[in-house]
Amino acid sequence: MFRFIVRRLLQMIPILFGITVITFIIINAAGSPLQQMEFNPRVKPEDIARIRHNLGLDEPLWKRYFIWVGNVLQGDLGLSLINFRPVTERIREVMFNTLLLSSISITLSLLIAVPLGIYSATHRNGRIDRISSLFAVAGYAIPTVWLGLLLILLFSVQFSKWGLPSLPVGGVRDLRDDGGLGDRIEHLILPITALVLPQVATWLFYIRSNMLEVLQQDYIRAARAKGLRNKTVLYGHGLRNVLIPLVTLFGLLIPDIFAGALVVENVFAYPGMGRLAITAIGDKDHTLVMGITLMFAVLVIVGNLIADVLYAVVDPRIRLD
Amino acid sequence: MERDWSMANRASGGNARRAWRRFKRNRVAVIALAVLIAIVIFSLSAGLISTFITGFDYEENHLDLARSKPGEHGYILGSDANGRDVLTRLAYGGRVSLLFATMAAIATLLIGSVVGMIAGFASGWTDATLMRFADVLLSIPSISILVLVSSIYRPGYFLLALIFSLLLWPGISRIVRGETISIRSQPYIEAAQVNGATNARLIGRHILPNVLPIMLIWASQVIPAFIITEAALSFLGLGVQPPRPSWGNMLLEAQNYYMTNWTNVFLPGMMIFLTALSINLIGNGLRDALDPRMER
Repeated sequence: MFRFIVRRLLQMIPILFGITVITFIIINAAGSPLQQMEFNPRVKPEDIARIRHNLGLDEPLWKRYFIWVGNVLQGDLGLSLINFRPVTERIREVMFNTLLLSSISITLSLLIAVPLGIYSATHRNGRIDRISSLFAVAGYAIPTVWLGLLLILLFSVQFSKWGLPSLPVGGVRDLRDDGGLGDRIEHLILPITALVLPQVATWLFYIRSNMLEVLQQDYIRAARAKGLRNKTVLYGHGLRNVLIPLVTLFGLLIPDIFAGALVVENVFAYPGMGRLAITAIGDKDHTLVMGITLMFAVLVIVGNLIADVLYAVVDPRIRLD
Repeated sequence: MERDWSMANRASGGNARRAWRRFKRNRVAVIALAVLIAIVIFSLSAGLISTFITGFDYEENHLDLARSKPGEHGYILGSDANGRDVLTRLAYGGRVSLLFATMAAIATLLIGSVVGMIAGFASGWTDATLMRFADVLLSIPSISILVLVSSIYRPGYFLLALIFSLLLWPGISRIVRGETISIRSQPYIEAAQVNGATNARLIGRHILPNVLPIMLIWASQVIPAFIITEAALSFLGLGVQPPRPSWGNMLLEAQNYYMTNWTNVFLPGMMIFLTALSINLIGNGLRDALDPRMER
């Protein structure tokens, strides 16, 4: 196990190297962050030259990349070009929000999808199964952006018009008076709903079809034949085997979950990494963009690593070494 | 020899006809197909709708008539913040969204299936190299690259489709590779090889027709996903740029005044939802029709 994790961590290096090189090239090919100043008649050319030199933008591209890598290896992601605050600090401020949003939505959607999927599979073509299948198809097709806006329209705008208790439109906390934990939760309800519904749909679809497949296997019949209780058969024999493909799916879905967070954060003005990324790109804040891309890549790769380790936990036949 | 060919053709024609008969029996899928055809006709006749029904061009501003409710001032479905007709823009936006998703899916299929078939067929180091490359691409969070590229270069939807395909081909290539490997080991492939079939002929004549249904089903899952992703990018202001409408940038524009004109948020999203839903349902119907063993 330990050797496997170390090997996978070593495999991360070329991938991270690749993605940072690509990002670096893409972002620099778009032109210098000082471009706006060059069109400003009030800024003197020698000032631009000085700023460029101070920011190190006059060095050749490859050299700048290696300087950046060298700094990253020492835990320094550089300074934001907009307000010269350390990139690590700006990311740390919002990283927790994004991780909170994604981890709650993953947990919640699994808590809903696993029992529902198993129930649908065991009570095939029953009423619950039909409703949940319909829900899965609809949830898979609904655009997260639209879902978020509709939730705001209904629960924030209409509810307050009707005089019902309404939920906040966006943000993480009430700026006028900080209501503590309850207030935080209130602000999380809508974004998490917008993230959870499509996720549940995806999980439900896979859990149901995998469970159906597993239930037809010989070992399930054998377990039933030897007189085990239905619950033991379903959860001990059935679920254990459904978990294996689910873990793979979990690894594959991680980028999707962050992509969903990117959209949801921007719909709900939620200060997370996705929103920061869009702001940074708009500002041409090269160092911040590089930092966020790197963090996203690390999160995705670590997520995949966790999925692989879980794989061995779930399926004792798999030896990682 | 002659007779063999006609037999083969008749058999495959028969398969398609049988699949269609099975598909027709699936009422949900048939309704979905009708809905999709309606949406496609609506989008393709955008020019006609603009000339004959609404009388507005898609980028025609009437700032004095901005944010009209449906039915007001001759706007059948209302107008947006610039006083542009929503119905006309929905039709033109549909053209963009559908065209984009179809092109992106075709390009992704082309790259992915060619790579997958080559990898599965060649095996050995070719396979290993191609699949390693696919693994690396899969572990890159493609959305961040998409956001980055589209924010910096503001590509048109044609270029955007190409970028999508370059980033997203590994998924289908893995599926095609797996299928190719399993077909490759079938006796009839060996028989064809013994009869002196070239590799190109093996792929074109024996492997491709067997992989085709999987590719179709995959496309039915991925086209809705592409439509939704394009809408998300346009919503972030990174996809199709106004005044050219897309369902996504109509959502972006409308979110600034959803308090007064909720239909402007509702309608484009509904179009995305209906399109994605109908394609998904058609895909489910196709899967059942093409693979009678898989009883769901």
